[in-house]
Amino acid sequence: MTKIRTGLAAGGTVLALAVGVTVAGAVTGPPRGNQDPVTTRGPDQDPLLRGIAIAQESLRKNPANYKLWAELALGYVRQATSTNDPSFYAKAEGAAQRSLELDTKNNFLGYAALAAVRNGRHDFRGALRAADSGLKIASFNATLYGARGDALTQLGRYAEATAAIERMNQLQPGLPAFTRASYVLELRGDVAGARAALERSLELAASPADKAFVQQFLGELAIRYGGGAQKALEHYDAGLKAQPGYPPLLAARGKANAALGRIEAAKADYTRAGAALPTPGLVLEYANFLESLRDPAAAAQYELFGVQAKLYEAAGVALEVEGTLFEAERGDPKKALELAAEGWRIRPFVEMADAYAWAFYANRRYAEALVWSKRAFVSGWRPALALYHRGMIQNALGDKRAARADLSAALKQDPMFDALGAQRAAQVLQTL
Amino acid sequence: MSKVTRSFCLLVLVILAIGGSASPAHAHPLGNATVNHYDGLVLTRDAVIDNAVSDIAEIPTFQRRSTVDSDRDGTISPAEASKYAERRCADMAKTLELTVNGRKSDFVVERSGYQEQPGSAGLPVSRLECRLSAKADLSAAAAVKFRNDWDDDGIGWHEITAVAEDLALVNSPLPAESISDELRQYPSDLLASPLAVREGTMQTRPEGDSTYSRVDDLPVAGFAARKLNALSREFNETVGQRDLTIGVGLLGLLLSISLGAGHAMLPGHGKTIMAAYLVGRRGSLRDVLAVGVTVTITHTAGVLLLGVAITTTAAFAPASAERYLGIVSGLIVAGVGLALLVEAVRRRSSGRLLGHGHHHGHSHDHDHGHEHVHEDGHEHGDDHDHSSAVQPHSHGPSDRAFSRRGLIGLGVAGGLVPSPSALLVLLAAAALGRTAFGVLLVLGYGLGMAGALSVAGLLLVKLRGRLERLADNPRLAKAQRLVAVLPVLTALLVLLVGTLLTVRAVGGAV
Repeated sequence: MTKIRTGLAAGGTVLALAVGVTVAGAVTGPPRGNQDPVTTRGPDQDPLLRGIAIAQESLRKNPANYKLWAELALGYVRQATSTNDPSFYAKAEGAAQRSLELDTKNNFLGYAALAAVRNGRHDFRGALRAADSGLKIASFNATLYGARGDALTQLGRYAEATAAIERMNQLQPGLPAFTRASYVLELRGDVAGARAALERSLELAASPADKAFVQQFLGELAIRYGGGAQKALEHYDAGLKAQPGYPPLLAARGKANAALGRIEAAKADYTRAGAALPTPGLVLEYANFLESLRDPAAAAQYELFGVQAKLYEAAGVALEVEGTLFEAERGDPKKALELAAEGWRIRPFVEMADAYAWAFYANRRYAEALVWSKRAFVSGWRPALALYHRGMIQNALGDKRAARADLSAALKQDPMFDALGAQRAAQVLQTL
Repeated sequence: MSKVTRSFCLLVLVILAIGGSASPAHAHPLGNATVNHYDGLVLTRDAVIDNAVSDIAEIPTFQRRSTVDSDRDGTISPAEASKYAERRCADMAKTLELTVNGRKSDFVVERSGYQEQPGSAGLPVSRLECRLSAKADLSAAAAVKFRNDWDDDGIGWHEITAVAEDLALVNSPLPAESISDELRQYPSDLLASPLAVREGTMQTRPEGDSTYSRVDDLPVAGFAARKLNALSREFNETVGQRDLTIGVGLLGLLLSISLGAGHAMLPGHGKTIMAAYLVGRRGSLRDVLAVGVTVTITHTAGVLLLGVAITTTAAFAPASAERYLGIVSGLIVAGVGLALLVEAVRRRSSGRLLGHGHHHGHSHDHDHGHEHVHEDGHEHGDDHDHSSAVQPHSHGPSDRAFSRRGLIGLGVAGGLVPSPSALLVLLAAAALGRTAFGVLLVLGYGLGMAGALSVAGLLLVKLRGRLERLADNPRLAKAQRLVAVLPVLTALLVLLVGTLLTVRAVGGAV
């Protein structure tokens, strides 16, 4: 028995180490602190894969070890984000549930795993409940505070989210805590603080995957808040040097190249990223870029987005922000409002409020649009896209001064925030 | 907030929902953005065939549709499908990497096909099938390396299987059967990760050309061999545990002994059977012990020496050592055969006719046959040996001296080529810092081998009495005459086996 337990402990430790690097949090919510790209392929070199394999093997012999089930679930969540292979979420959910079937009294790790999976599935309320159940058992656990913070962020409870992330940073300062802190700071409008937190993360990033991950968000902070596309490009290139071919970085570099007027380079990056991981956001962004160039290839990308939307609908899942924006811009404005309402129910978050405002704008309900647009700024967050939306709404309401201020601020801050939006903003500014 | 990041999350979500909800029947189980690959390798004496399949989920199918639908009429005609398949398979053939003994070999397309099938949300998924073949000379032992990196930008399942026709696969890390039914049904075990197998290296050997190292090959036919393989795995796991208690240690030792015994029983142990035969012939307990001790000492010493050689010199190749040991082993058997021949001829010429000749190979078969069901013809020769062996008991001093030497010689031959599994056990134990335990295990392994041989020998001793009585039956007189020449035949067979073993070992197939 002793040897079995030791074997399990060994497996568990490996996995815990691997999971500990970036404790899986809200996988789909905040962009930082949740995604940790590891596209390493051999189980021999990748501690995460090795840990998962050991845990699987140990659990086959001793399926009653609830801790190991929980660690395996966290490992699967991390693998889903790191390999961009979503089939791991179903496994993660199954493993987390198995863990909690075996023990609910002491099983704080089981709750952490469940919270991570629920965050991943946009069940933020469920994730919050799971994290809090875990915290009742282990009030010192950083992973649980991370999951709680992720859920609270997406539920629009920013002050509480900040408190949870602060607690996480006290308990276990490290990459997962710093990247989450950076995100919370960005949402509060503290771009300098967000950048500082990411720079600290970069110092801690040991693996190529971690480096790529942090560089991606350093780049995005730069390009979105007046740091310039050139600066962003440097971060993306550094990230791609660490982790070649990582699709989110390729897509981000495509946008930076587009902003710098390097059309062919941008197309190449978008195409590569799209072949590897055609996410709806990427497809829509690329489609808008092609459309801004009057490139007929845009049609195929919009069609592809339609295909994705169809798949989402068939699955009974709202496309939330992207779906709302697409319907508002090019589809059915009525449907945009429906999607926005549904999205807000799931995710009462600033970005969703901004999309909601744009849905009202598309329906020419400008007063309501302005109310929702203001909600997009409550946390202090002010990205160019939201400024552009607010500027357009104010213009429609006849407030030319406010419109001019917002539109020029948007273009100054991030000249290519959206290829089509930027063109339109410039056109409208000339009329003001 | 990054759109791309977020939309990935949404993609994940929809895929989860499709996978999780009960209604959509055709949802792709691995997510509708995946491109999944399977290679079913078939190794023959002159070629490597790859029955390759790509299972392409809804989104990539849609993304690629414009290149399939060349006339842009919105439908895929059979001509468009076959043209596309040809092009894709040719592209795949170019990308696949195959080396045989380090030399690159190119695949050519033999057959190709592309087909759309209904997926979720009324969208199609698609399946590309390519039959590729590459020339490869596998008529002699060869090392084959395969790698598939084709169409590997995105996410997906990667699976390779390998089977051989008229060949034996050695140390193949690839399974023979597809666990996904060639990408038709993906397993959903919580404790199994999606496959990510992109390459495999294996050795091949012409079929039937192997002796004892066959023991480690999984595809040994027969119930007993399968059991033994299962036992080996259990053993490796037990001994490989990080923590060792007395209980586990004893269990490991016990398993080691049974493995040794099983090893001795497995096909290919012609030498040991011969030793058993000689034991049966001589019949004393001391002879039985002599064989047992010889086998144990030789085997243990051999494994230990090999182990030391491997751990101390990086350049040491166990395969070549096995080869030399195989040669020595074969030569010893041949030598014993020669000595037997000389003895038999001398006896015949000195007019010593048989007192009893017996026709009882049949009964012997029954007693012994189950232990080496898959023995080749040579070992069946041993059966006849045995029948002839139950002979008059002329125990002249020189006769006895030879037999004792012969026995020890065969014992040495039986134990000389270390069983690879025993060697592995030793190295594994040493790697875990438990060299002494490893030595103990190897000793146990040798004891197990020796025990099995001794039991076989003792059985023969018991049998002998009965057979002699049977042979006294006058109705078997004719058979007796036949039996008279059997010692010579026996000796010739032993000599032949020894020679064959030597030749094979020289040829590299131990």
